[in-house]
Amino acid sequence: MIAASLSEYLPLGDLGKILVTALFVAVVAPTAVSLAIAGLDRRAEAEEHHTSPVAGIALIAAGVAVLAALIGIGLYSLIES
Amino acid sequence: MGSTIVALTVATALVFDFTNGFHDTANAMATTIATRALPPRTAVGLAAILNFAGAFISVAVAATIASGIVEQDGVTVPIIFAGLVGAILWNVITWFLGIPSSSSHALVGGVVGSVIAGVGSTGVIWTGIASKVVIPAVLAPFVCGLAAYIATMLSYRLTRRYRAERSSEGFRLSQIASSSMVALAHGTNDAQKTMGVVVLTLVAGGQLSAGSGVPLWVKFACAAAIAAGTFSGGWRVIKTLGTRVTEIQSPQGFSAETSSATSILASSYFGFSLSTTQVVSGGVMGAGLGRKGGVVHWMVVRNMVIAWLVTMPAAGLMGAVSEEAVSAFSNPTVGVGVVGGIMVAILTTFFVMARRHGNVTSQNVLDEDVSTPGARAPVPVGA
Repeated sequence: MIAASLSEYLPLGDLGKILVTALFVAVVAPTAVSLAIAGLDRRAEAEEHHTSPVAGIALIAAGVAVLAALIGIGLYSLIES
Repeated sequence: MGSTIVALTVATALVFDFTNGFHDTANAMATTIATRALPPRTAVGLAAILNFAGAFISVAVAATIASGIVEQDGVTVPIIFAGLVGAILWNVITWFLGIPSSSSHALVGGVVGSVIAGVGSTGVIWTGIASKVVIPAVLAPFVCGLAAYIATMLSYRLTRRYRAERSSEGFRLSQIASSSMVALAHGTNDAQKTMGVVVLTLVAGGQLSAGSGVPLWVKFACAAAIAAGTFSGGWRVIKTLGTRVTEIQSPQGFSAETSSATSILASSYFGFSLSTTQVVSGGVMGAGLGRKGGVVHWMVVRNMVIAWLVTMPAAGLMGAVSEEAVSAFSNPTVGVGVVGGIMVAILTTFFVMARRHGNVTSQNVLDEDVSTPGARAPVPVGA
């Protein structure tokens, strides 16, 4: 009954999409940052042991790329709104 | 309608925009300053630039405020002026108390109060108030709080095997990006609300025809006013949101700001105009609960929630009283001048009191021994 009353004033479908988007980013964004942090860690280890830093750099690039994509989507939604 | 009264009302709208800026600097930068991701002055400078830029991105919210909250037909320039006075006074009172209340709700409350006093309740679009203000206000902090809670838990779990200083640095850098998105979204949302009021004023004053777009000078003036307000830094509110709701570490700051930016941007995309203050406050609370051993100071939260509940009625009451005061004069220009003078005197009093009682600045914003009247030493109640 509450949902029915609420739907008169608020499109519940849109509300659901907002919730799903917020939860999706809540999972993806920390994962992306942790990828970059893992990359920083590996790169530092590689420097210490004089090994190739490529794996670390690749992880940093992957994390930054995901974050950049999220920012891009955010800017797009801002302009589109 | 005389051009003097229109000019006075537009100037008052820009004063509101300025108070909106300094009241809401905390939304984007409180956690960034608290985790020392950026020095305080640099943080508010960045927020000011992004608020300015954000004001030019879209005008959808301006249209909502100009036509979706009150009936344009019955609204006069003195009524809009009175509504702005109510909103400004409430913003300054809550800033003095250091309470992060919603500037948007103060604006809507002030205008609704003055419209009710001026033309009666038929001048208010109540379904617009319910769908665009009240229901989003109730739901938004929970949605953002839940997202921030999950993001915080994940942030700590995914990085627990790495050195603390490395993960802290990673989250601090990412936090600059997420808080910048909040600042940009804030400029887009909140500067537009003042643009909407200025357009409403120009239409009511006969300077602009109904249904007109937002003139460029209005966009520029509103962008400059909110940027100047943001740069002046609402240190009292920053202190409450950044240090008193919970003790924030960089993964929490990142989670709170990312969840806030996502909630605001997704909502804007679907046409809801949220209070950024309530969204960010919900995010900070969620981030506080998401860290193992994290403590949320519920007494501070209680004060914030009370302020949220009271904001619209209180700003509305002040708007209504201002409208009655203006209409007591047979010449509306004189009425606007007198009420405007009283407002300036009250604002001056609050600024002087703020300097005498716990003056919070960029230098001492993170010091524990500086307190504001509305957010005394927190009492930890739960984890």
